[in-house]
Amino acid sequence: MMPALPMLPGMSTLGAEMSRFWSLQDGSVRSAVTGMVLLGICCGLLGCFIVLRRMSLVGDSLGHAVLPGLCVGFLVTWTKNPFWLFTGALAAALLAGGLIAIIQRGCRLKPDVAMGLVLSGFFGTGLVLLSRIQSDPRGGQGGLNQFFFGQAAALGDADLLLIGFVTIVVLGCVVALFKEWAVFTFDEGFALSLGIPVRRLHYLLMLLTAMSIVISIQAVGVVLLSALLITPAATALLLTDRLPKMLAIAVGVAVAGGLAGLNLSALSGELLVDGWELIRSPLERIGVSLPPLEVATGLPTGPAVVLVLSTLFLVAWTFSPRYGLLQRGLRRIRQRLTPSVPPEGG
Amino acid sequence: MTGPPAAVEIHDLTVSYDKRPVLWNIDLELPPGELVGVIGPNGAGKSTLIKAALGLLPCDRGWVRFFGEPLEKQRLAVGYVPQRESVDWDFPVTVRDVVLMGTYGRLGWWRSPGAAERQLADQCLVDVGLWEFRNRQISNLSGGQRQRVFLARALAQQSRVYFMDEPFVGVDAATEAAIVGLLRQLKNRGCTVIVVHHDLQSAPNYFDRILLLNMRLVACGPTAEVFTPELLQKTYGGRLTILSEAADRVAVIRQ
Amino acid sequence: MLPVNGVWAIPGVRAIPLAGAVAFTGAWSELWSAAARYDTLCTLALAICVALGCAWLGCFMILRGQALLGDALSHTVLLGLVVAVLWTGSLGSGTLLLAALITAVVTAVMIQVVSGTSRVKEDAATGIVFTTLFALGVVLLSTLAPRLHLDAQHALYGNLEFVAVGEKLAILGMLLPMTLVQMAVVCLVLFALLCLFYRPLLVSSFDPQLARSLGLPVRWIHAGLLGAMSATVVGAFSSVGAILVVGLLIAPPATGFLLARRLPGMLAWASVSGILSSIIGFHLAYVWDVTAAGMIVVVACCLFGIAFLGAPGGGLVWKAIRRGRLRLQMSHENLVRTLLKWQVSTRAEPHNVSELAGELGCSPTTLGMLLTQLRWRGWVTNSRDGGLRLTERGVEEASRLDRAHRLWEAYLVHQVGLPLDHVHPSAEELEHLLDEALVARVDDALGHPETDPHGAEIPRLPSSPDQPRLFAMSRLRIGDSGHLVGLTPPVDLPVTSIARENAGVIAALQLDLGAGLSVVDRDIGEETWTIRLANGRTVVIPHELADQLLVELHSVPGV
Repeated sequence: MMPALPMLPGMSTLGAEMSRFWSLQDGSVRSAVTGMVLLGICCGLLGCFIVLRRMSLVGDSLGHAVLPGLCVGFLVTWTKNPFWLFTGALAAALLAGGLIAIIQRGCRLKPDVAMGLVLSGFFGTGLVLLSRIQSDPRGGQGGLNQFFFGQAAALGDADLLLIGFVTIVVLGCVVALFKEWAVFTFDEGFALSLGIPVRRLHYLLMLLTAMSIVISIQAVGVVLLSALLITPAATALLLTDRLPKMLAIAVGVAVAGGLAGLNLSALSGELLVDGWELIRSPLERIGVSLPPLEVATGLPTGPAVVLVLSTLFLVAWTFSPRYGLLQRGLRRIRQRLTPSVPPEGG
Repeated sequence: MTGPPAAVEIHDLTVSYDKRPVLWNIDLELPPGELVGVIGPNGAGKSTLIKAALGLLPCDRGWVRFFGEPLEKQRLAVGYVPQRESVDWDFPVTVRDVVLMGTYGRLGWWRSPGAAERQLADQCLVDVGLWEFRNRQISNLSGGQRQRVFLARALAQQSRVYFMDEPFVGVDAATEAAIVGLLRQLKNRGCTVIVVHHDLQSAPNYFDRILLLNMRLVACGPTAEVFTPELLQKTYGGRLTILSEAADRVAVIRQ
Repeated sequence: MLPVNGVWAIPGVRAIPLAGAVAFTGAWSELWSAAARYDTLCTLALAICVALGCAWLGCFMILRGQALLGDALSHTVLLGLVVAVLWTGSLGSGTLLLAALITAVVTAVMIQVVSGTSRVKEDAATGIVFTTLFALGVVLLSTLAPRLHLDAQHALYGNLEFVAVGEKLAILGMLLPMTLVQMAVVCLVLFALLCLFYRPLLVSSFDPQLARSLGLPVRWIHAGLLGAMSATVVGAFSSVGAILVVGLLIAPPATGFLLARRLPGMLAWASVSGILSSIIGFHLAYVWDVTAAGMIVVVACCLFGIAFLGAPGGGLVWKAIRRGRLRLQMSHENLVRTLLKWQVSTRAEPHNVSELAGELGCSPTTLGMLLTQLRWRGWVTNSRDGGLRLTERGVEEASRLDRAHRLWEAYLVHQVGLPLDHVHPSAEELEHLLDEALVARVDDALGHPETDPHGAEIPRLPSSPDQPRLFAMSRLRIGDSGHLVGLTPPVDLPVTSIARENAGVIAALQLDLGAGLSVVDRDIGEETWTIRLANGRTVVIPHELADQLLVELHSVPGV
């Protein structure tokens, strides 16, 4: 049966590229996909607790704070040894977390100021160290772009092992301590009265967050790892009323978004150029002129993943069966149309 | 006190909040099976007393015992209904989930709530009259219903001593009557319920024993003995400006 | 370049002390040489303008709890930049400003919309919005405008090193870099707005509800701050870059917050910190051959760290010092009180330091140190037979403490109603920490009691230390005898209405100055003193009057 629509020029290439991607024949694609799935699980789970505890800014500040740690880790061997990079980054993240707590306790400044301070101080130090590394002949091309935007295709076996290890630890903690974390996040006073060690759970959460941030940086980059932590959790929050389902949905969204973003960033430059032309030419005809696409290597991973996740969030925000914009609007219209009913008693 | 140990025994309890002493040298004993009302003006330290007894706030001095044992050994025997503002009502839990949380104390670290716990939670829901709301997310509840959720959670703790922080604030008359009925049921079961109460009018009708508090214990005893104009004047009179000033200075120095 | 270059093969740390100093002076002379002086000055001026603008703005932002918004804006501005370039094809400063403004508004509005219409709270909404817009900016940049890449890098990470070689403008006979002129204008405008709208800004930042009730246009103020932020971020493109502008928005104002108590002081300290960071950071960056933007922010954060540790009153170091001093004072005071107790009781002077140490609960060595300090303070001397003895000063201190302790105990038991066996620790703490004025108030509130709740006598203080026989009548005990010498305060001061009343009462009671009298009875509850006069008549004096009358006792009361 012949398709009624004319076959658009880019579509066959799109299909071809996607099937090539998903055949997982390419080694770097395999690593990237594995890494992304693991990260999705890890960040999706932790992100729920972070969002529910209103600690969303922590991801961004700890992420920025990691840069000097990475630089110091690099300076130990002047190579990108994953072990030293991880240790340096983790040490920096923990130091940053500790400093934030000290500043908050030692003076009257609010938490967001303390976080902004540590963020910019550490990040500035990192940029200083980085510029030293880059001006030295031994320093490589400098990983700043990778630090910011991520490069999942560059994940090596050691990196994947680390990511896998952290993911298993996070999964283990969440499953084993689920009810403790649930009570502690919902009602800290009640949790304390039950005898739950609230302080220690908080430190555990911070430690796991720091570890996830450190392993996510290489794949999605620093600014955008916040999105991996926050957006799936926020999406899940809009779609369900129960915590276990929220965790599951967040993981699902994170993994799906991550893989879709990966796929998007793996599309070749020519495909993107062709795709853009499809949009540009009709608009050109009606007088709207858009610049031509000039891309050689495709999109970086981080932004692609973020855009997919944000789209998913937008869809949930608009169409969520209970909390979406559409539903709220319909509800309000319905309220205005029906005669008022006396409110339920207490 | 001779005979069975007191339900709650507090000795020389001195508590600071934010380094400022708010409770001074509280001594009291509460026998089991009574409804106790904690009365006092704002800032008197009523919530602080409860939080210190539950170990939520550190004490400068003194100790608290439940049936002769410290809190760590008697956690299962002590239940808590906190103030409603302490919770984020947008949290993704249903009414049933919250009530189930009351059973967590007995489960220990690794076990999940099972059929028995669920049955208990359901029974508590019926007891407070929230069975039809069991699958609702908690933000879709009125003030009175929210209070009942907390109460059901406390019932699920199956404790012998309950601390309740201003449970009657912002609830309608029907819920108030329902809560009082529930408290009386608890008393008949032999539980001790200590309630921070804000309304002087209703206090003598609800409670067997009254605790008058204003930075220190003014009086503690059966309602008829304690709920007198002289003692109420002493509690609400507010002539302790020197003590307040001293507490402020101590807070500054301790910084 | 100077030969120090070889040293920098080692990660900079070890070279700091000596080579650093050498390099610093070398770099200084290079930067400020006749040839480079003008450029250095221009660059520094630009950095300072940006720092000042950020400092003033940042003060309000951290007070309004909007530090997070500043961080978000500094990221999302990239999108505005890219869209502006794509739309207009130019990178003119007017376009940039408008783009930044629009982006700022869009960001703020989107955050409000997301958090206001759903269960997602503001912090999560901010994260979602800024990552989305930033990602969009990056995607557009790398696909539609890659030629911009270099400029975008500078906009994000800083451009101080290239200020001097940019476009120049001729003003007032001088050739100034365009960017400097623009930023200086922005800075001046911000300063003018700050002066003009100081009061509304102050009120709306501290108490938005009050501001609204006063009719202040809170929304416009908010929008205005947002606009000022956009202008500053655009200006910062040429200095520290958008990413690091967050550092300048937060660190100097936070430093100001720690060092000042009121807003003008905070603004001043923030400005000073910003200027210092710019100057020091710029020079250090030149010395170490690192990015100036990063260095400036690092220095700003270090200045905050110094303030955090050392701020008078608030800094950690200060607090630790004060706590140590307090603890020392308390140990001294406890020691003299114990010595006094031993001296007064039948026990002879303690010869054995370890005995005393045991009583006090500290080690003999600590005790030895404390005793040396007490000797130095003049509270303790060695007695003839080698033991210890309190000096007059020491006795005075000890009695003062003793009195305070017993008065506090009396207050806690009689006025507050605490159980007798519990008050000792509280009284211990209070006696050390509180001043004479408060103790005097306690004494007055209790009606000048003679004994503490345990029954021990409360030492009393004469009206002035050099007249040990002069007491207010209210301080007299049963059995005291003396004569009336006057009113307190001294009669030649303006007489208050109370004193006038009392003068009438004194006359009515037919008391004369110089009249002999003795105290017959005290009624603690009614707070009256019953006096028998020399002529045999008895008079009952109320508390207030008794406070006013000065009596000279026939003999000094024993300790």
